[in-house]
Amino acid sequence: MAESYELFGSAPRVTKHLARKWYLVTNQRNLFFMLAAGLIMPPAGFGKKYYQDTLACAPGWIVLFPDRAPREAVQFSVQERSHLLPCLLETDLASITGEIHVITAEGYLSRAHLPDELQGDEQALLVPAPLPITLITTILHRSKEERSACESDAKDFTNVPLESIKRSVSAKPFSGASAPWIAARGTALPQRQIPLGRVQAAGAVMAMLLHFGNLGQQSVAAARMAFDAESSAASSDVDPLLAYLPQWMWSTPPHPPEEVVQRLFWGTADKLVEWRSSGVAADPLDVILDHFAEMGAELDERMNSTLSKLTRDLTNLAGIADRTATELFERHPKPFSRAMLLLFLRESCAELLEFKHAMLTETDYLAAAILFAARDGWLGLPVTLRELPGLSAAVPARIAAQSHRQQQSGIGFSAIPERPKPIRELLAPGAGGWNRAQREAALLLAREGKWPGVQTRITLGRGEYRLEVDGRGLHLLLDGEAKAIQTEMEMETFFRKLSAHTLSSRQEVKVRKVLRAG
Amino acid sequence: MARRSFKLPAIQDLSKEQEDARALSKLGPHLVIGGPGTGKSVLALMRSRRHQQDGDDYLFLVWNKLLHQASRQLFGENLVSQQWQSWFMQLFRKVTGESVPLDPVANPTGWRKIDWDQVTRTLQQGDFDAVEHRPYLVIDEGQDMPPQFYQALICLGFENFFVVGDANQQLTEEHSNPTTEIAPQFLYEPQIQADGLPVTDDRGLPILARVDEKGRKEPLITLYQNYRNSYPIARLAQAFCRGDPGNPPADPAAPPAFQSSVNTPLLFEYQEHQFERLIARVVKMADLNPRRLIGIITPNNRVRKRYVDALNRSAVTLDHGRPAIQTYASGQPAQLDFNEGGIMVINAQACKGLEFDTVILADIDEHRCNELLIDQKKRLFYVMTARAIEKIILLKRAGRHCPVDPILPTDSSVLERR
Repeated sequence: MAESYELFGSAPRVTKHLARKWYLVTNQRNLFFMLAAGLIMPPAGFGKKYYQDTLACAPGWIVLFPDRAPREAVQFSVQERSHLLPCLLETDLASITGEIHVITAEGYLSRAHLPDELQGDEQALLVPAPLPITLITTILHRSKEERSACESDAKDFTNVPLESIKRSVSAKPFSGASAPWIAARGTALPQRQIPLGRVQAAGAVMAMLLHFGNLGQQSVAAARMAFDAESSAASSDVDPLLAYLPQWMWSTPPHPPEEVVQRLFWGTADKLVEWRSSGVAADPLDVILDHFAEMGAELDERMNSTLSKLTRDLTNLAGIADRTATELFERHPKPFSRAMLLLFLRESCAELLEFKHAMLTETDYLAAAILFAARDGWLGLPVTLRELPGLSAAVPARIAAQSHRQQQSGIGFSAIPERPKPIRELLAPGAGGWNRAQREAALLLAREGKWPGVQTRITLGRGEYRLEVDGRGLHLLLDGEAKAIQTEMEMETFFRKLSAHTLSSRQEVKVRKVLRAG
Repeated sequence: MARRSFKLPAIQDLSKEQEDARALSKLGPHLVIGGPGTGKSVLALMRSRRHQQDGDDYLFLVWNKLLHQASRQLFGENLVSQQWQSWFMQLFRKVTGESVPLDPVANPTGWRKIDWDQVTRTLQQGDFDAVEHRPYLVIDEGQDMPPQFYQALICLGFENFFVVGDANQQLTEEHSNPTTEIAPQFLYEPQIQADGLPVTDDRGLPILARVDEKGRKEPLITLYQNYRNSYPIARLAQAFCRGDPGNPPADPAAPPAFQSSVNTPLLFEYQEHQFERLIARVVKMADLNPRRLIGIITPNNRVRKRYVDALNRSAVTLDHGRPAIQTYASGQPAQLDFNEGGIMVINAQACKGLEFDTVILADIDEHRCNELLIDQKKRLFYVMTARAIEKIILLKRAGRHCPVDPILPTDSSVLERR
């Protein structure tokens, strides 16, 4: 945990007007990290990569200044390294509800409720962390040169979605007068410890299950459960192994599942989250095998034997492997074991999404996706895996809200973006089959993928028709006009191909556009 | 075959020290030192990428042909790069109108070294202000170029360098110690306290610094954290490190959480009749993830050919068909494809600067070693072991004298014997 710093002890010069713009003062490197993590968060969330900024002044709280940030706060946020550039993050508070602290115009620390209890003359707000980065409306730079340097800098990383947020240049908001905000009188600010490991994993689970959402009906249900836990607490559409997903993601605190295989699986997911959050150098395989050994006492003989076989094969994978993936999947037909194998056969979430094997079931992929997500977290996902329309807005808002539920901070967000749906769900036929937009969307994918199943329906009036053959081909001669000529996609073939095909971000965007237009 | 490519890091992948190095000004000479796996080459490639994006005139110089090829293929063909010696020879001819002077005596392969004393004399006597083309130089494995190389470039008016290196990885006869031979040429100086004692970092190493173009003190950046190798691999590599006092070895990522690991490096002693089966397992390993690259590092050409032949003969049922099996021998044109996974069989001297997901040190009993060669062999094993990202396996033939046994760690938690 970072130390608290006392700053800005000089006398206040209070601005008595309604502050409508609220700024977090930071530097570009912390900004990048927060963009990657999806959260404005306390120093502990940065691991070893935190550069001193105003987040260190009140750990666990996000300090926001109105209109003009104090010069000292700007200086404080860049003094750790000469290459740091100051940034102001303009933050939209409209959707935040709950109790925060404020530094009053008179320099007192006081409590206030958002959104109604601000007086308009506060010197600073202290909002419990974390906040979703989607509340950042604008990133302000002091000069064009600094903006350009910052943009160029961000391109060196795979997981910094800087371009998703508006950037602007204005020197004035960086030059506020001193404010005694941290030396405020009144109630002491409570220290706040905020574990973020589980919510980071939850973000990645949402992303991965959305990516796998086209595999089949179970995948659609799993994606829905990941995003909207309350509305889908128990889904009979998913394998029992996965049915615990909403509790694992959203319960506070989570209750262990009753089934032993579920405990083994979700316990593994927990161990992976712990491993990522702790920063220890242990190999995840060691962590998992240790967990298996601990669980051994709870298992019956048959399960112990299965687990021993899995342990041997995982250990062999770490040494001189002696089986192909097919041979391993033949030896391990259950989703739990296969998910474990996949975790060590493929390196990253992106590689898992590309991996196809005829023996793997939908449940195998989904179980593996959850383990990969628990291991990598939302922070570990490259921008390319966050590009599905709606994903980058939906995830930060949900994980920030979940973090506040866990902390019981009382902070909520009134505007949680709608969950993005898998294409398969968007193309679920109604009672009368596909509507026009769905037909067009299906055709678009089928044409691009050169999938079979595209057929032409010619609706004819009643009558007799003649066939003629000449040098140009076969002709069907009708009296009058055909009522309709329609190109269609055969539905069963379509869903089979959709299950087997990984859609590109470009395809996702195009199809969703067609569906929206409909 | 599955494609591989140079991957930019995620924000959490770079340490603060690496960020310091990444943020160094384009102007002036900069030196970054660090042990294997500390991300020096990644920083050099990122630096090149930045120059490329900004449309700068830059040149990425590498030590040998193989590393040159690997860098180009992983980065992309638009990397402006060259092997350092051939570039210097061209430069010398261009500015002096003469061929670069060479030692009269050739080594056993016929190679004649550059006569650096003569080069220095020639350049000091001439007036070469007319050198028109002085690109930003990004130099990887900078310890493998001799000090006179840097001296010659400075003499020719080159000013903007970004050099990464590590004295503990010197494998060549002509080499520089970065802290004692390159740093002074770039005007880095030891920092002295008021009481006359040197300023040291938190590890007790003296801090060197230079004055940058804005008049600020710029410390020489040392990278300590090992990011490439897993903890067990980093520990094994450290066991071979000679420990040049100015060039610390990389730290393993963090303290171990487990006393022993399933990924502890393995020394496997095999009987001759087990060889074909061993090879079949290597092929299966490659098949498990066709995107991964297995490097088999051999002590000599005979062993290299033996492994290549056996791999090509191996008939195993696989999921993805036979993996790409590539090889390279010194002196041959480098035609390896680092863009794809599979198995690459190369000799020890060629492995410098490369990295593989899995490394197999083949038939280590064929390495020559005696008391006089111990330091050299340790350095070689330091470099070879640190090529591995995830897994390393050492193989030796049973029933044979193994000259490198004395340098192998005996602690079974560092190197497990089977």
